[in-house]
Amino acid sequence: MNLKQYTAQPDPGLFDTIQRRLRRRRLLRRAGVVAAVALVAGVAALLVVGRPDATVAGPQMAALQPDARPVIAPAAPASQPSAAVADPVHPQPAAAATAATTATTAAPSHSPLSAPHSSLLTPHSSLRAPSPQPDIERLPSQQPLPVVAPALPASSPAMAEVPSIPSVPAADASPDPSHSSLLTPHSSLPTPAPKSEVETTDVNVWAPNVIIPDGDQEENRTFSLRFSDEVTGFKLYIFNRNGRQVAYSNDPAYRWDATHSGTRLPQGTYVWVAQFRDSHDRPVQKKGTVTVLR
Amino acid sequence: MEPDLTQIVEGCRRGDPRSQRALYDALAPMALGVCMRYTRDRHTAQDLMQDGFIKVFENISRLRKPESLGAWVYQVMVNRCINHCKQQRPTASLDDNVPPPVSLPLDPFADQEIVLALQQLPPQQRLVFNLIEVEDRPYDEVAATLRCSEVNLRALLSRAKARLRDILNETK
Repeated sequence: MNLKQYTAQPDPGLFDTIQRRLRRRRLLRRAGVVAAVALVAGVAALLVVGRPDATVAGPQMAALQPDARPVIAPAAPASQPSAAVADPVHPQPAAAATAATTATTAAPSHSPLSAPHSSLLTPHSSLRAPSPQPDIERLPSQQPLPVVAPALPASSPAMAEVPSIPSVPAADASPDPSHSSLLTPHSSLPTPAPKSEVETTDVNVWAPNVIIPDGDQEENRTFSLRFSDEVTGFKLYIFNRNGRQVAYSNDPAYRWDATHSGTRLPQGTYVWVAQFRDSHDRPVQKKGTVTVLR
Repeated sequence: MEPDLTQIVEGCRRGDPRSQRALYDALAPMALGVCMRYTRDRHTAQDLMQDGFIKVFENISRLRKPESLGAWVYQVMVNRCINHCKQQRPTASLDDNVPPPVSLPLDPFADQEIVLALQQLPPQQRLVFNLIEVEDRPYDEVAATLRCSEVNLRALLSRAKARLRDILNETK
């Protein structure tokens, strides 16, 4: 007997998962490098571009100094120092300027290359043109709200099909076309319609958070979803804690009994993801966790 | 697979999927065997084996001698399992209360049965038994790896042996 020689045959398909994970890790690493390089390049470009401005006006040069910091900082807070640049020129609407610049950076953040450039360059345009000041002062107190609206399509796929909301009312009263991106947040204010529309199409999903496959109660033995509305194109994935898929179904009435290809899965927490289309044919994704007790 | 071992390693260094497949096919049963000994069920073992192979493929450039590939992969798997046991410590109490969902077959002296019995041990005892009895590592080295005293190790080991004996006797 030599236990050291003990071997076991792994499930088929494991190698594909390994390759998928390898590829994802490689992509993530590359994206990180690109973002870092782009950030450094962006800061360097700002410093170079910033010099001529500084020779024209003294206070702007002083305001540009804090920009040396984001070299160490990650890409996200890059909009923070740009607000600090705007500070000395327009002291009162500083908060509004922060909201506006974050709104502009939120849109192009998908591509790491272009994001730092645009976010770092916006303060210059606002520095040279005094026109945004009256616009910003016109903003009501709840102006952070519309900032959420353009950011949403990026986070939830359900909203991906309504990207035209900010652009439709953008035509009204924008005195300076170069600042259209700054103006979109408050120009979309008078149309609260999209928000209520989203609420009416929301499908409620009920899912158990615990199942006991060997328990006495029939209704607690399996995991299944219930919906408040008709759904189509249904897909349900269940993953274990390590991200391995253990179940899949396209049947909304599917009942999962905590098994994976015939074997009983151990006790623990599992993640479920349901993707479907609601009665308005909008894509919806819901997810949650379910604990299996043995 | 002896002759093209160097080729496989070369291919893996370039990130060639076919070489990775060949390496996986040749070594996966051994790797899963290792992980099975260190965990309480097949699912965890396969997850650990996956993690181990990710490490193998990402760090294969550090392997100096291609002919010792098997031993290297073995060691990567053992290290991954040790790390897993260390991370698991806080949740071990919950796991201990639940008997694993296996039914023991009747012949208690085949490798398969001993591994199944091993899987029923508490994580700490299983880890110590594996490292000292199966891998033949010296006490002081294991004590350093697990950051505990040798006395503690011996206690854990004797408890593991007693428990194993009980489990195997029950099935006789």
